Amino acid sequence: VLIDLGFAVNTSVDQYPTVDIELDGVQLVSNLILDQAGKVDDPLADLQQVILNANNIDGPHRLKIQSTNINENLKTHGDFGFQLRSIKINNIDLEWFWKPTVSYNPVPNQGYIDHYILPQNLSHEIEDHDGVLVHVRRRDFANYINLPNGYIELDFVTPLYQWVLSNNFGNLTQSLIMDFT
Amino acid sequence: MIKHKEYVVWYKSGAGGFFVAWLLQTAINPSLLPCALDVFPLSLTKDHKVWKQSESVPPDAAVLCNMFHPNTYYKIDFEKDTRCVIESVLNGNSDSIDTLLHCRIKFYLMNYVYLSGHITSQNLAEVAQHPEKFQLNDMEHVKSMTDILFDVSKNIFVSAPERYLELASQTKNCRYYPTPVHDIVANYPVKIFQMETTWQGTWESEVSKILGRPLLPTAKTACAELVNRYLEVMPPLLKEFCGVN
Repeated sequence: VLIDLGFAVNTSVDQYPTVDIELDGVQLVSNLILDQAGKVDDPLADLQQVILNANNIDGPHRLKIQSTNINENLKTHGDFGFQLRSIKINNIDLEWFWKPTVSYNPVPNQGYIDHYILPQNLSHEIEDHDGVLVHVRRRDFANYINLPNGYIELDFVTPLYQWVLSNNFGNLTQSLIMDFT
Repeated sequence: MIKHKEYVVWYKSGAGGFFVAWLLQTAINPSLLPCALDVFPLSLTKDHKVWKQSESVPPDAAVLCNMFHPNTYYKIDFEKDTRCVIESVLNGNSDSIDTLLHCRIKFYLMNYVYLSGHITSQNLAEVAQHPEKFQLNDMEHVKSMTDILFDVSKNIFVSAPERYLELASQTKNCRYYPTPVHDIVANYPVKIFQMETTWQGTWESEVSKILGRPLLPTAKTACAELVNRYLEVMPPLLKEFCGVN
């Protein structure tokens, strides 16, 4: 499986987010420094590309990208985190279909619930994982991690064909629709 | 038994992909001229916004639209992605269905499922509910029908001036992608149909070059009729650009 990831970051200090990347439970990269990535709030930013080749056999796979250095001290002057903006698997950009990533940001304190989750009506995105409250996003743009021990997961299947068929080819078919009525 | 296609016509929105496909089809089988003319009915002169309503794919020449790079909110390297697609065609290795998967799927959907580049929400729902009717569940079948994408002699890239594409997007109700595909494909040993030849009157040699043989007199006559129809129903802004009366 050839995986090509594109990252953007947020940082207002002289440090950059670092990540571990694993596929099917096997670590492929450890403490990768995202020091070449453009800013999250710039849609035209150049991304830091990370290309990984894992010789896994075809079947179901789980990709996990875990933050390794996010902490509250790094956020004193602004947000600190990373965004997984582009994903290519076997040279196929998932932008053609859909990007079913799930982001897991562990809730750091009650203030996060009171001042962010409740005012935004996001209570349904809070899950209890073995006694730890986690903000879980399973929707578009679930690609940003900015809390300690946060991570992103992507479950996919190779060959990709049956997997994208199961979602009716996502954006690829949606873009064909033109109702003339 | 579903028939394999003889050619694939790659194009960007508004570039005239359906026209080129039907021109090749008419050159191959002139008796299909009435079907070709039905795709460009005279009624289009009254309302160019419904340009795509009459779209249908020819039996032997397939169409493939906007498959050079994804359409995304974020910045992507359009040129790199476009080169990657063309180089995959040139590479000729069709072993894995994952290679050019997005192109394979859209090719199959346009040419064997929907028979058009555009569908209604109802079409989409019907196919989603019954993928087996179109053998979409059969990955090996889809792969076999789309392996033509890796035979460079059968893939034709439509090249049109950027200004033509901009005007087409304004008048034919289609998207405009600013990637200069015509500049990029010109750097590769691939078959190209230069759209300008349509209004410059030199289309016959362009078609002959693609087919690898001269046109028979009946084919030439039928193709000329199709070209005339295409120029006749062209939106006024495009006619002005092309110098067509």
